[in-house]
Amino acid sequence: MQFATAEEALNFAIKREIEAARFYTQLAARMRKREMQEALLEMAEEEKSHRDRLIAVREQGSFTSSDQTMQDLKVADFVVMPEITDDLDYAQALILAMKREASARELYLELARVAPDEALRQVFNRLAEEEGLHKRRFEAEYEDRVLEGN
Amino acid sequence: MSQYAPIPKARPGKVERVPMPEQDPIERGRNFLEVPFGYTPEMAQVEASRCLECKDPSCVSGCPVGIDIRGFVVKIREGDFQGAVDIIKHDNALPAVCGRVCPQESQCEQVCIVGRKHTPVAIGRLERFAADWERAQGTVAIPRLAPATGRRVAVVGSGPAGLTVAGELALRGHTVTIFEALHKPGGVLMYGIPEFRLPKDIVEAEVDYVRKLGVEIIYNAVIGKMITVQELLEEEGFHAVFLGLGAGLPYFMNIPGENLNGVYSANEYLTRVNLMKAYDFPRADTPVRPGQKVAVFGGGNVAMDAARTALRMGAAEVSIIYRRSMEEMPARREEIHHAEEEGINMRLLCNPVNILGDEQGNVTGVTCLRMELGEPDASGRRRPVPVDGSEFVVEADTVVVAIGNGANPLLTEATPELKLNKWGNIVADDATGRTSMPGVYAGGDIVIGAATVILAMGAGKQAALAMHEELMAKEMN
Repeated sequence: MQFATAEEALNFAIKREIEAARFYTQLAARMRKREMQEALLEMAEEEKSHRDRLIAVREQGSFTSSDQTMQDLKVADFVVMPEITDDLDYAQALILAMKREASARELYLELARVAPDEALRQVFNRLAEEEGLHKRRFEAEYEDRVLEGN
Repeated sequence: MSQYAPIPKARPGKVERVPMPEQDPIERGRNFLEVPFGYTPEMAQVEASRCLECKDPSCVSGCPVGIDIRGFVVKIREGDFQGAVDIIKHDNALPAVCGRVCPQESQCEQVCIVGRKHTPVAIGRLERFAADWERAQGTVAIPRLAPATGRRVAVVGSGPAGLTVAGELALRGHTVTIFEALHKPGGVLMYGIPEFRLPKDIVEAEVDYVRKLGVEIIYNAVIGKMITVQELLEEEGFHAVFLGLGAGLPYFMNIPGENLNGVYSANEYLTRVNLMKAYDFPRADTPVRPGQKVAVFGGGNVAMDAARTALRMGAAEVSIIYRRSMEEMPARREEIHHAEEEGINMRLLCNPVNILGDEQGNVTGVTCLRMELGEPDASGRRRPVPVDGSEFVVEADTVVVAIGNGANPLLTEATPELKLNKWGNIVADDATGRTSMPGVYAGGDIVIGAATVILAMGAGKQAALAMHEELMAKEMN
């Protein structure tokens, strides 16, 4: 994986968001429970909004840091990846989502580490930050419900 | 009339809140008898005398079922204990239960005017006293029922929500049948809350009261498997159905090791001991692992119940492992206090991340991380975050996961007409409990997620009123 420009990096990231939206849409179609179909389609919509944000970044040519402060809850580090079946429940879907965001973050951090120049490094760091925010959003929802009593 | 003479109102702040006598912590840690003994009539009257008897009592607004608190407290002060019971039962069919397990400190007592400058009136203890007093007389009064309406209602689940709906509708003249999946009534009151906090004969007595209102209870009836909700309405002749299924599906943390031998959900652990009497194994059929070092995950009432049960089952060392600090613990202060008194070890700001096992697949310990509370986020909550490199191991041969419960899908999966939210809870109207399925209502934990007994009862009461209205409208058509 080699990138020469920020635009190439963003195109790669946009493609990944599109793939993620497709993943959740296809997964939704497999679900036995209607409410899980709806929940996964909502996740697909979130990925589409991430895609739109990156498209806007690419068009504007500036990638500023988000206003949100990010504290890494690290829930994804400890939970076990569920087996994907047609009977997934929402807690498992959240784990799946936070793990996917965590690996995306790791990927961008690695790409930042090996980036050939500072401009590209900054773009990848920003992308990692974005994925960290997405991860945290799923972790917070998981924490608020599944870990409420803990 | 009671033989007790009225006593005068106390001057505000001149009388201290009357403590409730209770078993010695060391002694009670080895028995399942109820911890507090309850007030004597004299104690109850003194405590009742602390009430300001406000003209516009704010305590009532803090009660989810709207009991006339001022009214019954005055009756106690006057020595008219039966009068007090009658007032409570007008709005609450389970006063001995609520007097014991309601979180009064965050409801009626929180808004008690006395509490602004002094400790609030002990409303819960007085409610318990009145209910216990009546039971001790052996003559539980049955109110007059409305004439029979000819309408039949099926209630699924005999927990707090179901019993409330059943009682309210029976009083209004409807014929009510409760379908209970287990072999005993009471739902969480029976299988979940331990004897030392809520004696089972008290649950039985309050269920018996509902039965005396004419409610029939059918046990071992798993609706959704044996018969569907649709069939209840279309083939069994019921005009309406209430679903009070509770939150029977335990959450696990989804960390490695949760499948090891010796890891229980609190639901399973407490059901084995409370309902199936595992403490009496082998005379009872159901065993439970008699852990020596027991780790309980969670900081709610259920976690306290599990920890204190483990102690009574003979554990040498019981730890509560909780990710946040004492301040955030959702358990009632009283329960935390009792657990601490009994010697439960509180490992606060600790997060279990891995359950360890031996070659035979038995639990040997729990890897934990130290946590710290982060800065408040957009929601204002300080979330716990792990401290890097803070890993340590807590030795344990038994683990009880008591972090919460979700919706059991058994009935809802067999009822596609019901709209559910993404967590599997039934979507029902806040004010009436109406679901997406005509004639079907729902309330309690299956709608709002695991909460409190009294909130489930409040939802049951609201649903009962809406069901009554609909049933009577049907009759007129």
